[in-house]
Amino acid sequence: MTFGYSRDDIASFLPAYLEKKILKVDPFQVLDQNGVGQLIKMAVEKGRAVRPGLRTGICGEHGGEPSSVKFCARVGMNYASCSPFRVPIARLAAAQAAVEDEK
Amino acid sequence: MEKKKRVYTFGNGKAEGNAQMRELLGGKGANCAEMNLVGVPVPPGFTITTEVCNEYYQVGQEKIVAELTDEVNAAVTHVEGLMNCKFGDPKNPLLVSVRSGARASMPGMMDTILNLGLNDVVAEGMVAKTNNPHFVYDSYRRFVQMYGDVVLGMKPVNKTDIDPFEAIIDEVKEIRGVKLDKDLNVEELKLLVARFKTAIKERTGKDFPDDPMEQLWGAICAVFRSWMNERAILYRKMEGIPDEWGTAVSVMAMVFGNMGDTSATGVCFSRDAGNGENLFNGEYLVNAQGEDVVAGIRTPQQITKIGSQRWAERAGISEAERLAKYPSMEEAMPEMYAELNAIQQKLEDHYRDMQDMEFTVQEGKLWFLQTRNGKRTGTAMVKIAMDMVREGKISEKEAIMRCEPQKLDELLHPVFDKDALKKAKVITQGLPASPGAACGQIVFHADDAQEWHANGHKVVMVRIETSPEDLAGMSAAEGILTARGGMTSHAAVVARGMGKCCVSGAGAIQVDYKAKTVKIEGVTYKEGDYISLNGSTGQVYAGEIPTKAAELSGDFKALMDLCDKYTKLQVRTNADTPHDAAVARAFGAKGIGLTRTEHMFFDDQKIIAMREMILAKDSEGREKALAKLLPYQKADFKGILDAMDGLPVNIRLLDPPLHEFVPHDLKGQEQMAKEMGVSVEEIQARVASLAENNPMLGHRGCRLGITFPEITAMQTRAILGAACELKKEGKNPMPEIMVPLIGILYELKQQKEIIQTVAKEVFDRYGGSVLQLRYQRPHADDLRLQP
Repeated sequence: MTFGYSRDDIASFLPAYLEKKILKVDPFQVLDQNGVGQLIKMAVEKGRAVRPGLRTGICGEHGGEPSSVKFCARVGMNYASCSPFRVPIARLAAAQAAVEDEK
Repeated sequence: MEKKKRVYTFGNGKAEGNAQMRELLGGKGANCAEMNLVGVPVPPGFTITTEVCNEYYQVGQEKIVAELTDEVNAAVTHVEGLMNCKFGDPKNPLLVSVRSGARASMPGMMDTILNLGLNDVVAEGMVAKTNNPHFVYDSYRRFVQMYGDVVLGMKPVNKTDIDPFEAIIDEVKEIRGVKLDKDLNVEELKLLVARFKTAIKERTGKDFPDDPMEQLWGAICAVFRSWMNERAILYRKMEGIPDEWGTAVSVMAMVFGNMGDTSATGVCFSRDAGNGENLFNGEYLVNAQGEDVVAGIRTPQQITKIGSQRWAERAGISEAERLAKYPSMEEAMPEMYAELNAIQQKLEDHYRDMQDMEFTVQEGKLWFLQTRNGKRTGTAMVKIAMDMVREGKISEKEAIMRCEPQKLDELLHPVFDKDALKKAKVITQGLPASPGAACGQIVFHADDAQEWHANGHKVVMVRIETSPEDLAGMSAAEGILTARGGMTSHAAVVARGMGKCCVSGAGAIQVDYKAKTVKIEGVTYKEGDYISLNGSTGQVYAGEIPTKAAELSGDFKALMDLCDKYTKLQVRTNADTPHDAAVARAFGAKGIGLTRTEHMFFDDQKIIAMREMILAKDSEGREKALAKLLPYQKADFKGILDAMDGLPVNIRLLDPPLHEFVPHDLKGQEQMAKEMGVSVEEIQARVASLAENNPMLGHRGCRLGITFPEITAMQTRAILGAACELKKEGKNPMPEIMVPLIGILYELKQQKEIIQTVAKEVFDRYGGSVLQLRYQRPHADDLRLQP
């Protein structure tokens, strides 16, 4: 929605966008870290500036997509929420983000 | 040009490079160097760096060849010395392979040339040496063909054009009455070589180069050129590999596994790439070239005795027959096997990962041609990582980093029995919308799916496309097949949420709802016929294929426990039913991050009350309908909170546009008119008034709760009532309420007031504040950020 795309209507032009490399990936599958991601980061930071310890989370397809989960872990979100069968995938991605950040 | 080292040699236990020099030498070059350093026998050779590839594109072929000449000549002499033979020497010729090798593996994307160094004189010398003219001339014609295609640009540009060499082969086969390439005799192979060369002369105006050094330069430059071929560029874009990495060129002395019964060639893995078992395995062939193992012309034999015995059992071959006809390398070449086994263990220990290796035995001498970290299934990935932690070979953190999250998907859905799948017939192909395996009897309508399911049948629901009304049917089905819709279509999204197998957008299927038939590639399937779907590949099969269910246990569970030890971000689940909540909890979810309340309204009884609420003229009518909905909602929430007892459950107040819930067909509208005691016209007018130009941006989210505060009140009452009842039963419910799509602070303030008022009323009724109420800021992605 931040792109001005509707999930229900994107099918008519998404394939062309992917083919022409305007979009690298389907933004409804993989979180757009440069645009939407920055808004999330801002929301988390500004929110916590006003209320420290504010709990934040993400839900939907992105909550089970590894690169999106890692992004959410890095901006300090508390949880990601995904469909039941993606829970282990998200758990592994979240643990990887933690291990990578230690280095 | 800048003075620097551009060529790195390896051979005889020495190497100028090593495994850490992947960026400069490519994966293949770095590993060949490394194998030499750890004492693995590798045919000598040399690697031209990836930097030269970039220089090639900057300064052009002529300058780069001039710059490289001294170093390449010295490297060739180095190889000749170690192999004790010479480039172009008829008595003792050196042949080489020329391969590409980038930092990251790009299988099959760039060009390779084998048997380089052959010409008419050298070929005759090879015949005298090997006593195998068929092998020599087959290698020769392959070399000329490969060289013509790759180096001299004879490969057709358009897919529809015929390769000129293939055309010649077909012609010769027809004249000689030969069916298969492998049946061509020595004379015919010689004829092919001659005609290939004539074709090259005709097409390019130049003779095929007989001078091995000229051949070598042509091949090296062709490999650099292949970095910029269309398929390599496309592959790099897909995998995110930058163009400026470049490819290295590795030139290696050819060794031959087809020089008699003391020669062999094979491919092996240090562990089982399919199930991860810590068991050395692989296939080999005596007196054969690498290609023969993979091409399936001869039946490859197993390397280990245990592998061979297992193979024979599956193939129904007796032990006596196995030993006589298909002995393992362990049995047939025990000394070679012992050396091979020791080296594979050494390489695995050295790289600390499962290795995929290629080897050749030439007249009793073992050579390793390649080693790399082996590709593996999700199951093998997890087992190998956890086994290696237990063996003390890698740390826990390394195990976590080695597993690819996306590959776990393979472990989570029911899977087809692999052997059965091989025998099954693919009838059509759609999109792999939701992974997993499903088989069952075809039904076409949601109510049929429910009815058949209730009677104990396994069904696959086949639809042109699905809509929210089909939810219960989808839930009852083993899988869903649709003719229309992409990866984000309703069927796909809902199926993934349910963990239900789904193939969408199978355009070749023709569904006839009335006749209850589906026509696929000319065959008509009726309701009740068996069909199987592979949601991971999008393939559709006729008939029934047995499946196995997924569970979190053994190594998979151990890996997940490790993840919990290191993670900072908690993982919750999206769940709208107690069943989904329980499934997710078993997979380790730490609560629910989103419970959508709208899906609960699509059941028979609930949808009528819901529609009554939406179509009501005034707040009084809405209140009446909401009172009917309250017990349903409370029961739903109670089930979910109970399934997630002790863990947070975030429930989103009603979010979607109301238009989605109302009946759009006359039958439904008549039913509602009757139910509510008003005219059909009145219902139709109300339905029409709800239509929006942009429903995604319309009357939805907290806007519903603002305009119809009684909806927020009823849902709060249901959530907190359910929680209070559970608390009284000694449970520990932890509900959270999400007010969706907040854009303005006052929206939240107004909704908060309603929630607080209702909360007080509910708590008073259940005897004091048994629950602590927390006000949750909306999810970040719901704060106008819904992507």
